[in-house]
Amino acid sequence: MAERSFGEQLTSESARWVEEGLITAEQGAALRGRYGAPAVARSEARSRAASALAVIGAIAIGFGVIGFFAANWDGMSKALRLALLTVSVAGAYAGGLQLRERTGRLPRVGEALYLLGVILFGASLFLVGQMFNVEAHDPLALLLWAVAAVAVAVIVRSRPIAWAALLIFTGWVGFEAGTALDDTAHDGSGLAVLAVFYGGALYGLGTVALERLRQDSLAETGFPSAARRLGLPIAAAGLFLFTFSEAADELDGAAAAIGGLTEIGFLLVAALALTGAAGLALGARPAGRYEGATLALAVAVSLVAVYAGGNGDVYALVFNLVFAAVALGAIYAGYVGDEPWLVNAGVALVAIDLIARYFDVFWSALPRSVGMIGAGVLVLAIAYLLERQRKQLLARMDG
Amino acid sequence: MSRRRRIVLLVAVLAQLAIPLGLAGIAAADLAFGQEVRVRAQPVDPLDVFRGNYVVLRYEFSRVPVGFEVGRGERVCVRLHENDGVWDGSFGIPEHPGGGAVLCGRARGDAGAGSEVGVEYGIETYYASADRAREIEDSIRTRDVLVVVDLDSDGSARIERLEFEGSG
Repeated sequence: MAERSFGEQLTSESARWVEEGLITAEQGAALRGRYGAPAVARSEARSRAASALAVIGAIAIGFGVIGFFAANWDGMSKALRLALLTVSVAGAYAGGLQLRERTGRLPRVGEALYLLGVILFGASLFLVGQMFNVEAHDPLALLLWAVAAVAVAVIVRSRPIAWAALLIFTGWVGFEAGTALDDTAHDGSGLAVLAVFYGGALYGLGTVALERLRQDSLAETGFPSAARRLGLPIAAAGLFLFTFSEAADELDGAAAAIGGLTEIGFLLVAALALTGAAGLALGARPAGRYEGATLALAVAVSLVAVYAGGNGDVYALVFNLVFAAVALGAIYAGYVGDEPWLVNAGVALVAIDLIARYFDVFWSALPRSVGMIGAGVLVLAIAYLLERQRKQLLARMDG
Repeated sequence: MSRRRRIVLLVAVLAQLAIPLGLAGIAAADLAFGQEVRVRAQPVDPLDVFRGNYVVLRYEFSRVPVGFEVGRGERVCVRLHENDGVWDGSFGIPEHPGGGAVLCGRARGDAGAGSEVGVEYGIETYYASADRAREIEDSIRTRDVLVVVDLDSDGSARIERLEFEGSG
């Protein structure tokens, strides 16, 4: 692993200790203050900015390479295209190794080059497919890409690559499910229910992994943390859809649309989410029981809605309650667990829910102009209240 | 980074280089050794032929009658017959008979004996650069499209190129 400054190490390590519940946020701040808080904070800001810029650069180059091949499609022979792709992938990884591991001079840029290697590998899979008009099972390429990204993230222990791997894997899950549910009348509701299960599984298992595998190298890769931050919005998005009665109506009869392998996969993801819920409830997190119970409730309600069917209005009401429990629960869990990101996520969910309910209930009943004014006033009021509450909450958490 | 992890990284990178090259090699071998047949096709959406840089093609045998019950995703084969240099197939059979020009694909849905079923053969998408796509788009409006397909002995097929014949 490349050498990092003491300030950088202390900043990242103390943040992780807080996230894992080893120390409180106050203790983390005290530790950073003990060794020169302003210097550490400056180092942290510089390091984040460098990381962000390097990652953006890698993504831009990756897309640029894909665009270059697309624009010069006919001007190059297949052999030349393949040779350039191979050299690009190998070059990106070699550059990453040199800058991050061998010399350790530019670890952020080196990490971005690893990420570029991962992006270019995916690009080569798709470009080879296009060159030879390969029509294999389409989502398979995404799975292959995700496996490669996971391998690289684990080997080089990189958080941006762990994020990329999870995003690609999520893309595969969605594409695979979309392909399986394609042409059925319930593809939208099926995907939304899967989002609840999949997002819940990511959040639950990610939290359990973070808590139980503290000393393990898996935690060092950043996968558990990324899984939590990705899982919560995915699960919330699935639940949010069913807070509208028109969407909840779609759940009736959805079980008939899934069958065979699709149903096995569907239930497997639900089982993973329930395992995550059990792990949360049995863990030592301050809000673990609440988180576990809410996740189990979300999965159970979704399963009942899919398999038992029934009145969409009733399910919409139930999903509204579950969504509220998730949104408020995120604020509560973030507050007692000293996790500002969770508080922010919960606040955002509350705001989205309030705005949606306003439009859902009042929009059609009021004249358009009055409705618009009301919506504007509501949004401003929410912004005022949430900003005030969020600042107070975060200030209290800081100490 | 320890020596062991460097070796593991090297293996992972080599695998990432080998996979696209291997796929390209298999595809190139298929094109080199397959039986070349020409089949008539038309774009699925003639008003919006190219979606990005690919065209979705439909064949006369994309929907065939079957004399057996078939489920979505199950294998359906079509025996191809030549007529004036263009090959066509008229009905689905459950297995590759072992000889002749036979194209096999997967059923798009369920169908009972005596009914028709849509079949996907893996030759429904053709990719091209933006410039070539414009040329093809113009040709498709005025001329018939022939797809040159390389057919394997197991019934799998791969598009080699598109050709256009006189006004259609």
